[in-house]
Amino acid sequence: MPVATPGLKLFCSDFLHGTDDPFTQPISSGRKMIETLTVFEDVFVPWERVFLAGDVGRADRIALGFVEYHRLTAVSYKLPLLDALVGLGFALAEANGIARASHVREKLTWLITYAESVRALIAAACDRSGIDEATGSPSPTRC
Amino acid sequence: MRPQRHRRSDGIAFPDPLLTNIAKWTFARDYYPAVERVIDLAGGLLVTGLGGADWAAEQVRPYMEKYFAAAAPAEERLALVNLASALLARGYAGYQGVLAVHAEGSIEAEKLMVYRSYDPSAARAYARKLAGLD
Repeated sequence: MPVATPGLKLFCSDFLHGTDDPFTQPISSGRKMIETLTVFEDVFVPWERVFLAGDVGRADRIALGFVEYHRLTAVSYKLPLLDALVGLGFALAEANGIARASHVREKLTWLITYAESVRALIAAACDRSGIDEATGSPSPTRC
Repeated sequence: MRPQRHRRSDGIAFPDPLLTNIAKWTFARDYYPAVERVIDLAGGLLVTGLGGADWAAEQVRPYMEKYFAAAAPAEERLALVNLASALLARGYAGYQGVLAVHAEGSIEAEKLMVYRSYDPSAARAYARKLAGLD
């Protein structure tokens, strides 16, 4: 539904609201993610925007489909964050002059393993979706 | 044993639910341990450092440049520490932590889907065969 639809109300969270110091908060000062309590109050929804109406037997499939795709992105969009954590581990250990200590290398190794395990798992999750040989398009029937 | 495969009758591709949920559970379960390790490497300066107004102040900056340098000059080290503080210790870090545990599914939801997505029949038959049964 368009955001300006009459009756559609978005109440915004104040979490991370405010003017942050870009020096001490380089991420949140320039990037905001707005979370809302979204309320449909007497909203007209045209039939072409209705995906399921009364077919209770199919409701679980729709919910599960959303979950499966959403959960895939839940991991794939985190890879840059994990790379930032690994990169910070290395850069800070070097800036602090402690990069050669064996326990520091052990922690860096753990971080590498964590990030690359998550990366490999989600790549494998995509690889296992299968390809339809007839059309070349991804198809679970060819798994 | 062959990899687990999942099929749909409608011809639309879905990511593998078993591996998708294992990936998310692995990410969520080990997120705070990862944060702990980077905090360990970064040091307490994550929450004790001075702000941008101090860095910009002519009478304060020399002290920061002297006392916050280590193996790297202060400006470089503070840029890294401030990024780390944002990702590990401040409000934004709390936000990312909650997202890691709850966004796009709770840890319990992921465990549930792993259990439901896995077909144990091949593994069970293999174990029974190795045990000399069947």
